[in-house]
Amino acid sequence: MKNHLHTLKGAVVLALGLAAASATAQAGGEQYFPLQSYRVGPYAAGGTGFFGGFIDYLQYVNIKEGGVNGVKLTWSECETEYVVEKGVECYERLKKGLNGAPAAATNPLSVGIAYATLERSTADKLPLITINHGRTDSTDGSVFPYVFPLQLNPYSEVSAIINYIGQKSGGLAKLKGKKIAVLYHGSPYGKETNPILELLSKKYGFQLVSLEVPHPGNEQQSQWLTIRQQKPDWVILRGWGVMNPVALKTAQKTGYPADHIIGNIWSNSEEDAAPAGAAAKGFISITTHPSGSQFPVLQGIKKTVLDAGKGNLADPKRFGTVYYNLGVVNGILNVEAVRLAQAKFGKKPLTGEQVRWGFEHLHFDDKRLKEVGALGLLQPLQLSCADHEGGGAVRFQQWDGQQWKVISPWVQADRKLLRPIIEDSSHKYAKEKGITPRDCSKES
Amino acid sequence: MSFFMEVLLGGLLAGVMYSLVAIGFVLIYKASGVFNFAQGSMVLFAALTFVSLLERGLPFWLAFVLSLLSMLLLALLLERLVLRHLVNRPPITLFMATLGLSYVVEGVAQALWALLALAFGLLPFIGNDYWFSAILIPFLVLSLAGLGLNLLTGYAGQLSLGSAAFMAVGAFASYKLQFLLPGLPLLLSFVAGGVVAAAVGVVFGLPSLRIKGFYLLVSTLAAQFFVEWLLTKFAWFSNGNESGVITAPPLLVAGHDFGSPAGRYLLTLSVVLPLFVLAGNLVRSSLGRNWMAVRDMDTAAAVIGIPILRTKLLAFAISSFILGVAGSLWAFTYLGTVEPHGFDLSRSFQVLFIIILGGMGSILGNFLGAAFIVLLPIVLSILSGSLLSGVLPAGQLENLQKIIFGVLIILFLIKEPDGLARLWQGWRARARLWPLRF
Repeated sequence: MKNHLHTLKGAVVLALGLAAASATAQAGGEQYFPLQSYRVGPYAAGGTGFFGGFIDYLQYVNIKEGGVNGVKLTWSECETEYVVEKGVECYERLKKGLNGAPAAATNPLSVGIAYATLERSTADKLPLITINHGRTDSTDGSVFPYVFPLQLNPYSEVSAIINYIGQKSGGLAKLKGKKIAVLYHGSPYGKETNPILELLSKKYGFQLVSLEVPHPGNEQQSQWLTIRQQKPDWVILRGWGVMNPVALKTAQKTGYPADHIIGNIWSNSEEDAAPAGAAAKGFISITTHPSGSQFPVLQGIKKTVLDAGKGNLADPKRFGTVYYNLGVVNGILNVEAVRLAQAKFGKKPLTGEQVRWGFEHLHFDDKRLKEVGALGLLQPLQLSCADHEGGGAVRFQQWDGQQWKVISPWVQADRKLLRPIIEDSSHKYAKEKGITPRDCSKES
Repeated sequence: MSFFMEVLLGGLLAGVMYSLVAIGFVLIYKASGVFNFAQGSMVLFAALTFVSLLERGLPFWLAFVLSLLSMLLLALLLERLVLRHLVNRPPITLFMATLGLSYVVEGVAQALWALLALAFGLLPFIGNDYWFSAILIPFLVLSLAGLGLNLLTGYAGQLSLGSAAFMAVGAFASYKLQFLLPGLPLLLSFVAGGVVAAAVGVVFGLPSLRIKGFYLLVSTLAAQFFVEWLLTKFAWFSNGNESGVITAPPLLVAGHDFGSPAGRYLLTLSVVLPLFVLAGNLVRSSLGRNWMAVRDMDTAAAVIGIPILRTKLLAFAISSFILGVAGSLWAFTYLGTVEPHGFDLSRSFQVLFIIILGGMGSILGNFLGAAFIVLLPIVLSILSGSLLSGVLPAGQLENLQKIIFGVLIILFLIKEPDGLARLWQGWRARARLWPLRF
């Protein structure tokens, strides 16, 4: 009996030792990205493109450089279908890391999921990346230390569009007396920018016509008839999913020219324009990154990942499209944050808290953009403790019937004007939640 | 002199405590003739519970009240599990039973006081964040929502597709009231949200006096769309947030912060369980009998003098109240942040599935149905993730899960139309006789 016990004990000790050894071996070399992806459901087009690009970039870094400073990147997916509860479940399931590799950041690419995991992310000290979308006031990093609406928040987005219309009209002063209609999706996302548009209309003296399209947006006859009556100079389209092609088709039916419709950041993909066929020709939209595969980083991905048969896209023709490139851009920003954080905390797998420091110190100038092969793909940006957005610039592109053609240089949002509004909102949030904002002058 | 005072006060304190114990002792003996030998171990149990709660960082008064509640629960359990089976036995049998009990209680209290109530005591300390945040809390909240609809549909026979709308009303009302009445305690705001939802429920229940079945279903559908539109359209409901999103206030009850996953779970549990007990009693009361009479045949119910108007509207009010509280919990203890769209038609369907799968007209069925709805997709997703990953592309796996989920729902409906609750009863009846058949 006694002997038995001894052997048993020995076996247990051995097994535990092995388990511990294998866990540490893996933790020694991997950084984990939990992916709350969506590949089925109504928004699958966006999900497959974005997560395809993101995963391909991570593979590219692993193959080409053996990870970040020797730390391999690893990931696993959890399907959310863009449904909030599923996203939350995935968040809770994946946040602990994988086989000992700690999680770096979450990238849900969904406004609803981002809102629902915002406080959890802060409590768990895991950065929440909402590239090109999310809660505008989370730009204020002193109140939202773990949330990053990278590149472009919703307020910057409309501000840049108005600036572009101003340029087109020959200066912002010429906006006076103009009429601009905004056609927005009837959801929190669609309505988020309405107060800013009203503010801008007062500031520049243009007349604003706000028209709501109920979800999902496949019936827009009455809204476009109103537009025909009102004859606005420009229509801003804040669409989402099926609402976009329907808007373009209905515009054609009611005789509104497509080249005076400006799509926002979620009305700017091939999947938004192509289904409208000829009606989309001439349609203008903003983008934070051009489509196309001519950039060195995309060529690199093509050579090392796609041509090796490891690409994540089911349909290789989508390589270099808007959603795919957004995924690549997102990958570049995430990996750069890990790289920066490693420079400070050591070349090892890092905790979310350490990676957060990396995000807060993201800095891309033309030189660094050239080094990662993304000059012209990613805008120059610099983040700080107070500013979690960084860029705030967009380019304009026009649909030629087959693909997007970039038609403008970077157009900057009026971020000075927006900042006090953002701070009002974030301070209100801080008060509601009893948060004491960080003192950004003391952050290093 | 001071020595004398010390002894006097000490003696009085001890005496008071003994007399309290004795009062309990006498109460039981006089009322039921049971000579409760387990009294001492119950005192021990209470003390250990109280101390353990204090050690977990609970404030004194909260721990005190919780210990009292846990003793109440223990006593109810003892009565239900042991004493009830010994009715009309000789006093000496009862006495011996309490003797046996004293050993059990003492053992339990010393080994693991928390065994008292698995849910309250044990889980919060062994469970992990994932279980609380992703499984247990939505399970409890959806069970409660199922209960709300089950009272209306399963007991009172009124079909409704507006469950999510009433949940939304509850959530937004309790959120808004927090701002209109600063300092309103959290639990009270849940109740107030439920009351507002009840009022809205009565308004949309009015057509039920004239129409039935599928026509009523359509009119509750109107409630669903109207409420969602209203909350999106007017920023007033979300306290001026233009995008219509509301976020949870700090989860403070009696000065204790329930913000952690385990805390949110406990808070949810302590709201859900009492409501279930209440509802269980309600359906056994005369109101419950009236509901069932109306459900089975409302003309006959009217003939025997049941006030149809009052009965139906009360069903709508109480059902909406419970749904409203469930909505607040969904928004505040589960997700933390919601938009009106989070309470859309598919949520109503989800609640309807819970009662269809779990069993209409069954209290237990709500738990079973909710467990099924919450757990099955997750189990399938984890299973397929570990077994089939690499074989099929990620998107296809999800479609496969959908198929399995749908097939299971249909299978259940064909094989057991009375739901999981009925299945459970069948199993239990069989297990009692096993291995014999009759």
